[in-house]
Amino acid sequence: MRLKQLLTYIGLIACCAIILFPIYWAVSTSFKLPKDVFASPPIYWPSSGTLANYREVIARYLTPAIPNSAVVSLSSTALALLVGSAGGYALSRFPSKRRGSLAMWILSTRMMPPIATAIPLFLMLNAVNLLDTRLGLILAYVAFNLPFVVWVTKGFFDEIPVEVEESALLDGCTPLGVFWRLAIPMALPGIVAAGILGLIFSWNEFLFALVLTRSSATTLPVVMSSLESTDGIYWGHIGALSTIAIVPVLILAAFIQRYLVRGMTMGAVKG
Amino acid sequence: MRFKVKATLACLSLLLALFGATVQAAQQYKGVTLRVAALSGSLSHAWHTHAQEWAKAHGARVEVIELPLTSMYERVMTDLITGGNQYDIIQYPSFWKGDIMGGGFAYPLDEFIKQDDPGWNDYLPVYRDRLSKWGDRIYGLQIDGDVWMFGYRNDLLSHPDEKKAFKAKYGYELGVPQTWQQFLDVAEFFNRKKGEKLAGKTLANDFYGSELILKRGGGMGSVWTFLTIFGSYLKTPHVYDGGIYFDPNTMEPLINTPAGVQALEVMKKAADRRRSGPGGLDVDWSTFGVDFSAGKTMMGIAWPDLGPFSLDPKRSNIIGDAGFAVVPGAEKVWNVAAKQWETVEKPHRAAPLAWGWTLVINAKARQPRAAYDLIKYMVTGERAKAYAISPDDGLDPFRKSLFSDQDVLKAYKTIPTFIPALQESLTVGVPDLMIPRAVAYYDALEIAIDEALRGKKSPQQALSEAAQRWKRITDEAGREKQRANYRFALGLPAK
Amino acid sequence: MRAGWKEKAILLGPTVAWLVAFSVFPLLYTLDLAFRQWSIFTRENPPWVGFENFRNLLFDGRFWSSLKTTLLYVGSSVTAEVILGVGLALLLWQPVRGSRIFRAIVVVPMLLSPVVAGYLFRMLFHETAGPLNHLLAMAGLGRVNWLSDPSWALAAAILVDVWQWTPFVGILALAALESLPAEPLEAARVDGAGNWHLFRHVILPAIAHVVWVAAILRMVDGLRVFDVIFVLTHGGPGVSTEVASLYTYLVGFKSFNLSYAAAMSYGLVLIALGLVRFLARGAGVTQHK
Repeated sequence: MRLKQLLTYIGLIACCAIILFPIYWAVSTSFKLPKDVFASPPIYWPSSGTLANYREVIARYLTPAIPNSAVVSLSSTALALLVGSAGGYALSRFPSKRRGSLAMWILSTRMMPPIATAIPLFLMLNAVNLLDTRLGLILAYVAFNLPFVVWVTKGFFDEIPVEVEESALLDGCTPLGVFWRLAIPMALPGIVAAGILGLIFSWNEFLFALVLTRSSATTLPVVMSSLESTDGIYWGHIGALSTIAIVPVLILAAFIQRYLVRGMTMGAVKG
Repeated sequence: MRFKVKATLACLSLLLALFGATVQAAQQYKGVTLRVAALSGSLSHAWHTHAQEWAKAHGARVEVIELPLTSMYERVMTDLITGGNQYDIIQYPSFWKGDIMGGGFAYPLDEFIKQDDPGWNDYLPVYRDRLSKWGDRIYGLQIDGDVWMFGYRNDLLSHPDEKKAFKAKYGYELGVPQTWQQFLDVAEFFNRKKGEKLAGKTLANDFYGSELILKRGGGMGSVWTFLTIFGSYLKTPHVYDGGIYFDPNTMEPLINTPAGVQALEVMKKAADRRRSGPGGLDVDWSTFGVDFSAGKTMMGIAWPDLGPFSLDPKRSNIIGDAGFAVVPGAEKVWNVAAKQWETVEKPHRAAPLAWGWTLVINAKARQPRAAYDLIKYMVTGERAKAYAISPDDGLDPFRKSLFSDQDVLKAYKTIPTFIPALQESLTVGVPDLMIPRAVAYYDALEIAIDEALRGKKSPQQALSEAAQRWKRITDEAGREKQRANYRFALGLPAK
Repeated sequence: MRAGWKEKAILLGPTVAWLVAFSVFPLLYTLDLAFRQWSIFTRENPPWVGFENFRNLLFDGRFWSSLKTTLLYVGSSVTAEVILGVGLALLLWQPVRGSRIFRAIVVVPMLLSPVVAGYLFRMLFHETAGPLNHLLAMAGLGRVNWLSDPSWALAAAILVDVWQWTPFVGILALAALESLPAEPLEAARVDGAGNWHLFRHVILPAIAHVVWVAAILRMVDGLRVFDVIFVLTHGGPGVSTEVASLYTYLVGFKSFNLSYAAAMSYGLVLIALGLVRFLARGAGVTQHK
């Protein structure tokens, strides 16, 4: 039994090392001096460091990318929550055979290859002069976060006992009032979790941002993908930008640890 | 006394006038912001430096939007097509000319040029006449003169021991390769393994006999290596006007002729590890630039930036050791009209006038006059000279006067072959394909090159497929339109 | 619970309307586009060309090769993720102290943007300065040209996918493991079943359906892969890692042949739809837990 435990630990630690090493490498690269970045053999534990990469990256790339990323993620998530939690509630509380297929249909819109919608979205936004605007990107991101929000919140609403709501209805509350005053507060942790995951998804999104923005509304992943030039890549900058992109995600994720797995699997697993 | 007062007054007023003038210049574009689209990296360098001086002097702001090679084209073109008007000034490579000028996205400059000369007559005609105009108007100013040339290690090529050994092995004198066959010989001869001797010294690392740019993708890749060799094997009336792509009467592609197959055969042999470094099909422009100046490789064909690179203490181990010449040529040519090979007296050469960056003002720019002022500043005076000398900006000489400029000559005095080679190359320059959709044509060609070099398809098959694709692109864009565009590019009557 | 159609409309209406406007309408628009001949350069009304784009697609070797690359990518990465994911789940399932911390660490990769993941690995894959080749060399193995050798580049991209998404399969499998009733396991143990036998005949059948769902979810995602490839290899060397989404993107936004790109993306949509139908059956299994 002891041996088994030891082996388990070794296995788990090895897995975690494999998982964390790439991230460690980016973080350490971001602090390396330029001459150390391409050292051969590679330097695993830099003995001297610099903040120059962060200074340069902040001066050159972070505006307007970070404000854009933040505004677009926050507003699209807020909108998706507003619209989607109502949808999730309806699907949870008024089920019917047809609703079941409606739920599947909502899910399937998320399964589409984004490139298929990116082309017409590009033309649509162009027609109404919303290309390269935050608003244009927000509209697209809400659509891409909605199915996920609907499914995850539906799962949380499913867990709230219907009896409370029914007695409220008998007391003369309207169904909408029940949704707003009873169901939402009770499902709040789940809604927050869905929101945080929506934030992370939007913060990470690349293809729509690449196609629908050019410079004014460009987001962090797009800026990162632009750092390559004919002279090669500034790995120090990439390291710094990766770190900047990762840190908020990890902080946010820490808040919803309990619901993370459930959210990532769109409610398929209730961890 | 009177005189003194008068003189003082005069001086004062003169000072005031001068001051007023400077203030006026400083105020001239106050509040104006100009947004420049440029390739990220060294090609943006001039905009971060020289353009900022201009901005300061005129009270304007110059914003540089650096775009990566992998997506610069689509981002600029979608902006222009959809009228996003994000960029006031666009710095683009010559093969986009058909899309940008031909698409009607550039602001005509004729009036500005008349009022305010950008050194028009000092431009090398080979660039100016082909790259600046569309129809009968001027839309662009060159900021770069790009022609492919041959770079080699002069110290090794002239080493007596090596010369002797080469003569013994190949039966002719070692010298600058004049033909592709000689290029392959020299590459094979100088390809040495770690531990072998080179010019009397034992090698600590492998030394590559040559490196050709063979990587597909991004645009600074294999197309121009192919065009250099292919163009040299092709006999058709308008080679030096850019006539190597299509038959100007029928728009039939020429790449799938035996000249194309021959070019791929040469590339295949050159890419062989017996003649080249381990990079193989992964060598792109930046790899070759780095390897050449680091002294890892004997020779190759590429842009003139090799000259300043080889002298740049930051990257070069071969300061003063580099030699330059016009690219090697073909010993026989495929006569397109007669459909047969012909031998030639002296090697037939074709040096791509590839990329040559052009500045245009967006047709929808809010401040075209200010934008013109800036681009004129960028292509004249000390700037043009700085580009010719500096290894940092990726821009090469485009003015006649630079070839006799004392500072330029002084900068290259340790590599005396550089300027003459550059001048000679211009006499065999082959312009890029400058019709709309050139990017798509080149992309199809690069895929064929890649497939053939990897042995996935025979050269003939790969090129025939590429030619099919070219025909489809032509049809999509409108055969007649493309024919007219192509004939215009060659300077032929529309017919 | 009962509610009038009005309430339902208020609650469900916005979701449906939004998706119709920004997901369904674009897809229909794409369909219409696919039957026209429209390069964005020609701004006139695009003519209707029937099935011409689809016919061209049939004879477009590059499209089929991109599809093959995509399937190879999906097949290999999902297979690896399932095997490694189940292994990971078994490890996490063991009752050891600190398992909460391990579980927290394990989910990190899937939170990262694929763009970031792509760059993280480009650094690791660097041929001379990357730690991966250094470790291989120390282990006495040869150097690998991860991203420039066409026979390795796709494997490298798959490796990134496996790194990022094995935890996803692992976590799903773990949830299934934890919901296993204790009795059959105990009974089998009492019968003297070995570990392998236990795994093969008791545990695996019990979690198979969940793992299957995880695999389908990964397949759907894998078919759409774009970001990682865009950053890691941009489809190169040659076209050896050019997946269908990337080729579609290049046709649409580099060649600006939007109608052809539309036809191509419909090919992808059909495949995705097929998989979603697959998923629909699987999802019913996991609804109750």
